[in-house]
Amino acid sequence: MEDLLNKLHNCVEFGKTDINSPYPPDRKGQKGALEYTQELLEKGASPTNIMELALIPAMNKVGRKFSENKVFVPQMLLSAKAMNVSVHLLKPYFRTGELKRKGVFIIGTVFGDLHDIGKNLVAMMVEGAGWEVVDLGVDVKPEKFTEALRQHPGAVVGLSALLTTTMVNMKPVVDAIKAESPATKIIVGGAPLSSGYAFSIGADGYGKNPQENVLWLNAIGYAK
Amino acid sequence: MNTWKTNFEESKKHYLDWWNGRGIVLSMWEHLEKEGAPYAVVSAPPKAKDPCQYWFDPEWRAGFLNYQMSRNSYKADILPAANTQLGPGSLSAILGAELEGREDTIWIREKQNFDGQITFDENNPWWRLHLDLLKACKAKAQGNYLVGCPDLIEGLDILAGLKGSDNTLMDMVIAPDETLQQLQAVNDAYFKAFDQIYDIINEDGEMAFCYFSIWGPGKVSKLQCDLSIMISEEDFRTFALPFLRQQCDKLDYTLYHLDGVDAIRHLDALLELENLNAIQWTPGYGQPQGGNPQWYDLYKKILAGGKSVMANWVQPNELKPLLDSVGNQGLHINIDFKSEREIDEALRIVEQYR
Repeated sequence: MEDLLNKLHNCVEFGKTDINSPYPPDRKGQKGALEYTQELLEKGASPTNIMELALIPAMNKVGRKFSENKVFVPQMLLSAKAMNVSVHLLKPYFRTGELKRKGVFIIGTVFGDLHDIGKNLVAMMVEGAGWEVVDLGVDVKPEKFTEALRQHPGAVVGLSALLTTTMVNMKPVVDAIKAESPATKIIVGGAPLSSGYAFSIGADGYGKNPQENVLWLNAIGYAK
Repeated sequence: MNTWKTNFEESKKHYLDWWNGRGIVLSMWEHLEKEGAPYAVVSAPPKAKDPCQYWFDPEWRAGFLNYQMSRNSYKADILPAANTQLGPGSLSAILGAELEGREDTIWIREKQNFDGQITFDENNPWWRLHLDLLKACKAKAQGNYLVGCPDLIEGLDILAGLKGSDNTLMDMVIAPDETLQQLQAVNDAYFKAFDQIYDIINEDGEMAFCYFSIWGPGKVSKLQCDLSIMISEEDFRTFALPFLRQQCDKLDYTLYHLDGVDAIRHLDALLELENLNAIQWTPGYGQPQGGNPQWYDLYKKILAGGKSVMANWVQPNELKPLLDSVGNQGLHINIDFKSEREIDEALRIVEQYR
């Protein structure tokens, strides 16, 4: 079983989605995350072990390599894609409660901004870290965030903006969330932001890159 | 051409020198309103009904730009060029993406059901709008100012506008050959569009770009690859550099817009582009801006690499230290001017270095 878990870890780390995926080129025709996850489940591996011994550490490793400029966004996206096919197979176990999420993370790009790449990367990394992600998309108004919070009480919220002209729209979103639910934790990120700016608008955290979001979620105590 | 810029001939010499690694250009990002009477009596247009009219109604926009241009200051080397931008990367729309005008900007929405084929359709409505807008502006300008080239953009940024950043980035890895073919198709379309635009907007063979304060005899453009901050140096050399090289080779004068600290890792590759003339540095929000001593070494490296420099959002009090440290050859300085008095003061400083 350990060997299969290692192979799954390896597939996620290097972005090998399934047997038909052409990447990485030196693994053409070889099994990917899809096949190894199926095999693990068929052989009775626990979904929790699949998450905690393969998927989460693999994505953490990708996040670290990204922070160190050893891999870049394309490779990170492919790792996240490989992880997603695996998580998809685990969804029934989340529904039955056999596998527990670490929490719910609501994410969206704030209104006025249609950029989605940063938001998508964070969503993938956070999901890979064991959270349920509710992706509200781009151009999201404050009321959509508060509505999502009502549906997912206790969720943590992530806000994204890529432009100096749209990052100012984060404050009304933060204000609306805090007015409705003062205890809700909010992390913000995006190219033009800084930690100083994040705290000046009332956010609780600032993620310079996707991995920092995961580390922050761990640090605030929601995750193991 | 007899424009509203009375010192244009002198400025043209400054620009030509700068493109060739010499002298100083002193300008600003777009314009500020001049003091005193406008150059001509131009009626203010009625308020735009909505963002759609503001951006996409050629006649209304030509009238609005004409009104603005009649009241701008063109002191120092500030260009008399109307900003006709139709969104950052409007070539995506010409190739099938959608434009959405909002109050402060134009957004580009990905092409629905993109099938991988990139073709230049002369009947594309956004292409027709480019032509209609530029023709309307040219007619209204009557030679009093130049009509700037819209911000078409090229390469990976345009592919991202067509099929999304995620797909573009992943395709670089899983379908590199197809991506390279698409990038060539984007460049082919770029040249087709650019040539037709040039035919409309050039004045005696000269043209200006809508942003970045660049003018030149012949074909002039700003180049970029904002997606470069997300990719490795190796991928930049594979997927961006060959197509930028084609542009540098075909156009007469080119400026590369280097955007953000994470893009600096591609500078060595850019300096290998023999026919690239200049590099503009955008530090990004939260970073010290273009006049800060933190960037002097970057400017010196660009100059040592044989390219001219454009420094943006320089504060007036940063001008002299910048010139003292970086030198007086091949420097285009865009100052964040707030008044014509500030322009005059900056000019007095620059004259000491010319």
